[in-house]
Amino acid sequence: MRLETILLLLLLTGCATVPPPRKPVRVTTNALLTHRAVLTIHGRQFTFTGYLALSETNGLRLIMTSALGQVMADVLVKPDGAVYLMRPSPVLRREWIERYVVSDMRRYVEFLTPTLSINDRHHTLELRTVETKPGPQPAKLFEVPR
Amino acid sequence: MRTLLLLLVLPGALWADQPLEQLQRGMAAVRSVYLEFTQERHLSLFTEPLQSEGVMLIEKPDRIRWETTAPFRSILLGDHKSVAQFEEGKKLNLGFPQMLQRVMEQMTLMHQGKLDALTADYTITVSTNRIVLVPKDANIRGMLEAIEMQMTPEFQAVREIVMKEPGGDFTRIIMHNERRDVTFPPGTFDQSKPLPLADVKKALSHAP
Repeated sequence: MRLETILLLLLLTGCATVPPPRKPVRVTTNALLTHRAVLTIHGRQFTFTGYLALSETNGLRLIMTSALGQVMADVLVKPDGAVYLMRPSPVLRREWIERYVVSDMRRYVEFLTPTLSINDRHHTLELRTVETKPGPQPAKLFEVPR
Repeated sequence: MRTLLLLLVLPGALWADQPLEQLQRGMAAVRSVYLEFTQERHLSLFTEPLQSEGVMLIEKPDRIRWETTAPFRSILLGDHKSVAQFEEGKKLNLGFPQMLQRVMEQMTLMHQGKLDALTADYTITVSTNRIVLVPKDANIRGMLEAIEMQMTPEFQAVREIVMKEPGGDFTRIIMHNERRDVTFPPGTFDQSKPLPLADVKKALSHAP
């Protein structure tokens, strides 16, 4: 089996089946951040651009796009910790987004540093904040889907 | 009735072919292209488009360098054999390089006016100053509805590319400061150690 196929299967099937427990999340600023990230899975690297909207009252919303501009993940995390996948990902499985993407988002808002490196046995994420637009974000970004 | 239909359809079909031929003819003699771009990511959720900037360099027969310069630095290099990506100067061990290589190849073909080479993957239609490419594969159409290429009035060059997504979001790439038939310095397309863009620009500024 080709490595690409294995990677694709990994991304599609995910490594975890149990979603992480819901934990409240505390956002301490209002801003729209642009992130550039390099994700490494089993030695293979993928670049992403992330647009992260932060709201002290409404939580956080991440739109993650691939090198080619395609939306890979669109996630809303409410202050009470509730997670909503706002649109289906063409590549990433729901469980993978809930476990890894959301966990990385939580880690990021905890520190709010210009760079962040996350390394566990499943993935490595090198993240840089490349643009910050401070200010309140539109409420519609944080509306829970019906 | 059949004749009437033919008469109605044929002039349109002939007319539609002309701009493509014109484009291909116009670009055939072009040895290399340097251009700068502004990329706007229009997401319905955001009030303003998310912008990035960069340069695109193409050299015959198939070498391309797509470099984002702001708000981050990233270089994509490709030819018919391989593709490479550098992030903040560091070479990546790319996942799915074939997919990226295919996209880079298609970008090169579009900018060389070789749209006939894309007919296997796209249905191509032409209207005033505009070429529209619709992916034939339904799976791809689920992510990319269409690519619209805005041309100069004489169909001599691409001015703008809009990539439309099914949900209404789109990416617009506006081309400017185009220079043709430039001689790129050695290392411009080097997939191991690409020449820094500042040096490429410096060499081009000294060129006649």
